[in-house]
Amino acid sequence: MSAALTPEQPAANAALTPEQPAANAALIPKQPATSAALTPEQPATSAALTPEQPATSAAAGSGRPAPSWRQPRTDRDSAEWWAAVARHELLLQRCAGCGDLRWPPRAMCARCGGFDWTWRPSAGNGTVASWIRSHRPFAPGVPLPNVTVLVRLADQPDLLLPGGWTGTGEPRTGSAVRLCFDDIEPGLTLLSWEAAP
Amino acid sequence: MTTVAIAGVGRTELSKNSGVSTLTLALRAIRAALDDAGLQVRDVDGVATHSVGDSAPAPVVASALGIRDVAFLLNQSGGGGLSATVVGYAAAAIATGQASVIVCWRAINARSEFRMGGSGRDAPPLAEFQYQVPYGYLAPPQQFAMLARELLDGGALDERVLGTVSVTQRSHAARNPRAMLRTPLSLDDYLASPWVVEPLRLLDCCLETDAAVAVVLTSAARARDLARPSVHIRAFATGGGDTLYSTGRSTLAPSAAALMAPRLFRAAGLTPSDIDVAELYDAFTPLVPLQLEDYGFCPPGGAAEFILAGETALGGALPVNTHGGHLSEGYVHGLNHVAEAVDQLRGDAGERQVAGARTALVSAQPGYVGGVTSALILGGPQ
Repeated sequence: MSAALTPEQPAANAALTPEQPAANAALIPKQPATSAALTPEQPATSAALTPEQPATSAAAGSGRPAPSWRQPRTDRDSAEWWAAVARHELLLQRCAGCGDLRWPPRAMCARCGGFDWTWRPSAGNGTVASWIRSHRPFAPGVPLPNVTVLVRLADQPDLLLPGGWTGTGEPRTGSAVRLCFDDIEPGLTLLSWEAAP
Repeated sequence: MTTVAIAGVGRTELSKNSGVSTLTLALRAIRAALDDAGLQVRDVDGVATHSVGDSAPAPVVASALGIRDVAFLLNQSGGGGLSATVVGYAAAAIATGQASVIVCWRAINARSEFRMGGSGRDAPPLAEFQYQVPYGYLAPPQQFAMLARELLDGGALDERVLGTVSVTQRSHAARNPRAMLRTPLSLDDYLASPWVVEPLRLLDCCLETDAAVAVVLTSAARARDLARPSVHIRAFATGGGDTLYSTGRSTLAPSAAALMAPRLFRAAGLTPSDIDVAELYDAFTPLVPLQLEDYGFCPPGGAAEFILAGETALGGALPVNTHGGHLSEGYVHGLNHVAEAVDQLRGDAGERQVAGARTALVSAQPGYVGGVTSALILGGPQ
């Protein structure tokens, strides 16, 4: 693959003003402003990245495709939760001792210390606790700008879950939202949120 | 308990491309700090640093320094929340007699090698990231934008406050010959700077820097006979607990620093009004108002007015980030804030000197998101 297809691809370069040298941030891609990435054929907004591209590059030499970076790196605490998401179910843990709900999945209740718990389905209602709109390509293949929301679940107001935004327009902090599941690609389902009707 | 002193400070140049390894950066800063203190490399019996997989580990640096029997070795894994712990734990080791001369440093090629801002590198290996990386939500500016939105929409802050943080710190950097960005800014410049992650603009974000900073710690008794006036460690605290997804919290703020601050001041026997200058971890502008309230410099809800009134500028009631901070001097992951506090307390700060500065507070990242924080209170030469 060409250099122009690296994850550092700068949607952002054009935004740099002369008095704000590349030193400022996080943000400035490795590609210099003179790179081909900013020629008219290669518009800065395209980012030129499909989800498959980084995966194939990561797999170079291994003979088999690497998992997409969008695939969550599940662990032994989270595997059942993600399996439920794939079935379009949102699960929370409910402590058998004190009844507290918790997420993300963990073995022990941080409130009472109990190890006994059960899964409890959530209806997926909540409010927008916060949200951001990314204008830089922090991850490959994400169309820019990209909205991410942090939702406070109605089930118990200290439960905060991140997710994508399916709604039209922009989210509003404090407004009611409901969960919808986003089947990104075969084998990958993520949470997304939209304004509650 | 033995009083512990910072006997010397060393820095490399702050640049976008050091052209050398992080090991070389570390050795240069350490040697400069020892030279400043009037100590030799052979005097060192302890080493302390932290990293996020982006720097030469402490055992490698100890070996490169020629230390064969390391009495104290701290090689912490973690980011900005730990910057003060490196100094604090080293001070505890000296206070308890475990080691006699400890060098503490942070060395990074955070622009030319390992982009601290996250572009093009993996998310940290923390389990919680599995729940957000799939949405393209992984880099520090995104995390802190989430916090900023809550503060802005909740009315605690507005963009003029964040802009004033940026403009004020640039005015400090203009008086700092080491600073990477010294051109004065206006609020209009701030408002015209492009979005990185709404609601954060480019000028809300710190620099990415190649650099190292080191300090040398020894007992105050030994430091008294060394080359430079020594700065005393009055108090150290670490704290934390909540992460972004912790249950039991109803807001994204308050940060861990708010819980820790009373312990810090109690350990020093001081109150916020005793602090003459504060070097507050400023990876992103919202952290400054947040910490002004966390540490009790302002009442809850009072930071915006304090900043807008110019009280954090040189000449104000509490000058903050007198070197320009991470926003304008450069990003050495918090340790350049320790070095600046030492400069202020020794009267070495030149055009940006706070007259009569006797006591300084230096904070690490206040614990939002990652859940860990730390801070120091330093006192001037006795």
